[in-house]
Amino acid sequence: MHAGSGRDVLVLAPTGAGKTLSGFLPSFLDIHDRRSNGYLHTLYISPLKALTVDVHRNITEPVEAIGLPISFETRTGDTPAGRRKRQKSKPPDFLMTTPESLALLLSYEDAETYFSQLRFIIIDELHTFFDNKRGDLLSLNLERITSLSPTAVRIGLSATINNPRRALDWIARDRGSLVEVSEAVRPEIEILEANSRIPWSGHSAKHVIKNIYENIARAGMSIVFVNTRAQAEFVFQELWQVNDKHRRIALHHGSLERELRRKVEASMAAGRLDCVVATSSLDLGLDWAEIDLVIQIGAPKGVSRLIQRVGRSNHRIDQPSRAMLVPTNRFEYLECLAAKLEIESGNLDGANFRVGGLDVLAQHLLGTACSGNFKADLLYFEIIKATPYSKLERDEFDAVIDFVSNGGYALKTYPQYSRLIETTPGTYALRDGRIARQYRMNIGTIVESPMLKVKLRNRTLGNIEENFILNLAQGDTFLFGGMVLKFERLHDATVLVSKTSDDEAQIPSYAGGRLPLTTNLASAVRLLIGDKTNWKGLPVQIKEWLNMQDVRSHLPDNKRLITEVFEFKSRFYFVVYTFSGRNANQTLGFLLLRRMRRAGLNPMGFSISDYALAVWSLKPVENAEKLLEPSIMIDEFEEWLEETPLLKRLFRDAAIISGLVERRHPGQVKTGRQVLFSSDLIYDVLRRYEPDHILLKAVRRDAMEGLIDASRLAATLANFQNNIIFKKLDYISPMAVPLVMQISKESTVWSELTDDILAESEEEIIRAARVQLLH
Amino acid sequence: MHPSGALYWPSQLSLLVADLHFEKGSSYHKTGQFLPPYDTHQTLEKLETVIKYFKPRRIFFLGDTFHDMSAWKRMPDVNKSRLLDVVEDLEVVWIEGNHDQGGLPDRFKSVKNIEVDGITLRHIMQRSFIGPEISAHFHPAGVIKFRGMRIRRPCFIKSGQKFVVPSFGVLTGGLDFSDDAFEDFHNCKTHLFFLGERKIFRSSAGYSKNIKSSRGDRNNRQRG
Repeated sequence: MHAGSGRDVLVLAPTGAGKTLSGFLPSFLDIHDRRSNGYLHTLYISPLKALTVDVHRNITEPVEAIGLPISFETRTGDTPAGRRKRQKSKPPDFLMTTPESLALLLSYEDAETYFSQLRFIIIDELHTFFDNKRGDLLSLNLERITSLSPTAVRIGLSATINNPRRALDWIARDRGSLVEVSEAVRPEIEILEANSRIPWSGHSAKHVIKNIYENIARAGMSIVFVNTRAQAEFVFQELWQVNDKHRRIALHHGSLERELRRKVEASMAAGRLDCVVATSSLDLGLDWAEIDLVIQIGAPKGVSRLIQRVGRSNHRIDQPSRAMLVPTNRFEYLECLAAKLEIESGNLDGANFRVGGLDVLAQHLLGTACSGNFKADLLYFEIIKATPYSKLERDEFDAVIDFVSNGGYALKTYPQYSRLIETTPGTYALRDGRIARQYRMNIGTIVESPMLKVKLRNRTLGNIEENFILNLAQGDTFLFGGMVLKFERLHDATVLVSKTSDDEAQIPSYAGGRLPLTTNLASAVRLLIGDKTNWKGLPVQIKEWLNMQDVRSHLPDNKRLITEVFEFKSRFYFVVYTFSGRNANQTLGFLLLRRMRRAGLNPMGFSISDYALAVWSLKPVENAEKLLEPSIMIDEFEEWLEETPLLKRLFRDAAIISGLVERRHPGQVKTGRQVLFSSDLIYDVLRRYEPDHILLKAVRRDAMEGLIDASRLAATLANFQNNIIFKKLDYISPMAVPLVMQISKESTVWSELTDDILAESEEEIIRAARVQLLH
Repeated sequence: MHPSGALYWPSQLSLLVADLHFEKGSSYHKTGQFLPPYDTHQTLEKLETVIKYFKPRRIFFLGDTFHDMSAWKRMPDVNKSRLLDVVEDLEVVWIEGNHDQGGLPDRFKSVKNIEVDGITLRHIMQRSFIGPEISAHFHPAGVIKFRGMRIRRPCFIKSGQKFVVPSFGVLTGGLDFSDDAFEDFHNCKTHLFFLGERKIFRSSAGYSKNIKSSRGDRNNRQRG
């Protein structure tokens, strides 16, 4: 085996091929030769706490049965303090942990001894680390370990991806080896055929809940995957409404109590459940007993993601996994079919590799200082060995040290509070131990938005994002826990609500963090729509819908960018079918608002989906090509970037990750009466006085890739620059219906319009008041 | 009312500002949270602008002028002299807040409250007090709704004889009007005046209507 030779290895295998166990083999062989000596021998890192627990169980049982004298322990945020202490003084041979807990272990002063005899580092589900800040943190910590124990071999275990060489570069210290296990059988995927009408928009799956239930009732154990928490709640309730065969159906999602989730997982493993409705909280390689059927409700959003979910069913390598896709609206039907075709022809999404975040680096530098003094020169060379930071410039690194030390401001006012002290030139030490304790409370790159308790009379219904609530006015209705609730008021950080008889909520639930459609799948959908010979698999109603679009307007395809303008309810709509994913579309929406305003078209707002965006204005667009010229990515983009509230949202996360402000911990109530600083205000101050501050730089860089997706948008605009089709229509086009229907629900306010809107609302109120007086 | 959050009182040639929270940013440095040290500077800039604009004879600081008792001591010298300069030709009345009971610049004294032309000025509203009263403390802010759009802004509150002013400091945040702290104002007599970018916008219907109806619902339910 490669890993025995001291070279790093990346194992790529489809889900269910037993790759986790294979990762442990070289380590077992080695420990057998050396015997345990009271030092940590192997570190196993996985992205999920639940996975460490699961793998721990699966490994411990056989090893204990054979009677091997090896000790295995898990170490996560849930590990009780007593065991943590013992693990520190007397480490097990094998420690199974998460990136956050690893960072914690590395921040102790004895880290050097603790990791000195480490032989193997196994990283499971490696593909989940390439494109996020957790991966940045992990990559930095791996280099830290390598500095402490240079011979420790890294073994990466990953799902199949289409660019394995880059993944190997990411994980291996130098030239590593690649082991690819090919797929034995392709999964069998079908799309649920419903007799009912497929809705234009929405994600409720209400129209097919009975069909879904029938499939659940027929199968043994099944998992129903959905894309959002709200959807999970909704589907779970609907399924119980039709549960006349008394199937045992459970719910599993991230905002449920931890114990509740554990209970569901245990019941699944013990076969005491028939079905679980779950979000991505159940996504990764947990080895759940026998699952016969995976149902995916809603758009899969990406081919690889779908394969992962489908792989949850049937962990036998010689038999195909079975999965059923349930589109909840018309566009999703196209997306499901395209994904199915892609899987059948073996086209995977490319993994995205990101440039490491400077906020994560700041956290890591403070953590490193907690474990002992560091020399900046040496640490810099350690850090640029981590793939995400390989292009980090020295002056940026120095700026981050400055930031960690005292905020990195040009104005140096309060040196007595610095967190780092330069003991000799280039060597840094922590000012005092209190800072280390504080650091350990704030480790991690996942920032949960502050939550408030929701209370209906005396009953607590659950938690909801504070930001969502702050945007509500009294009397607004919203959906929560399957009920339409009316917002009454805030009381001591609790949201007081009442029931209402309304069927529909005015405000759509906050659905942040929705993944955008992958480029690969988007292109597959375009291909599917653009060529009628591909329509064979489509149900009649979808074909009719597409045909109507063809007749009334124009079908999107892979070669041209289709745009439309039409009047609807005394507003003009400008629709662009970009197929660039919701993030890029949102950005384009904001830029078009600016450009259209400049052109005197009086734009009012826009709505988006993964496939298209619609801007509504008081005057019609006359020249689409001019509006969509790639120069928009320079002229309007630069201006907008300075003002967008999206950057504020990212700044909030970066401020916490980088340690500028502390995390809020559960039970530590800081809303209500105590008015705290908000990161939005810090952002404004910083932008005004230090526009080049390192943290603003970090946020801008993050934004370009993820939330703003500028590179993808720029590529779309450049690709289609001379291939724009502009249709002036008399009526709303069939494909635009879902977008226009959505407008009343989630329109976006443009910050520059603030005063205009306030003024207009004032006028309306005054007018209304006058009418009242007259009558 | 000025969109900066300041209140001008023409008959008294007086300006009222509240909750400046000078040195709020730096108060967190002790705890290792290095907030940008520019908030004092920016608040001073705002203050200079409104004083230049209204040219008052007297200025009332309505409490929580300093974020904590050592804020004045901590303030960089350049900002200290800026603050003293800007109020130099004015009669200054410092009303004490819950954050700054003491710690004022040497030659000043603070009062708990003061009555001016029959109106009582104090930092925290007194519920039992009868008579006209202007207070601050809560940093009121609210959401204004219009055609499905919503905007959150700081606001002045006026209801009966009570008047609450928003915070003038730049790093101070706001407390939502729907919070129970404003319970006394959740009725149809209340008017909110939102701070726009350039002017004040008045709103009453949006809030009071909803509150009235929801209160009404609850009463009906109780009776039923």
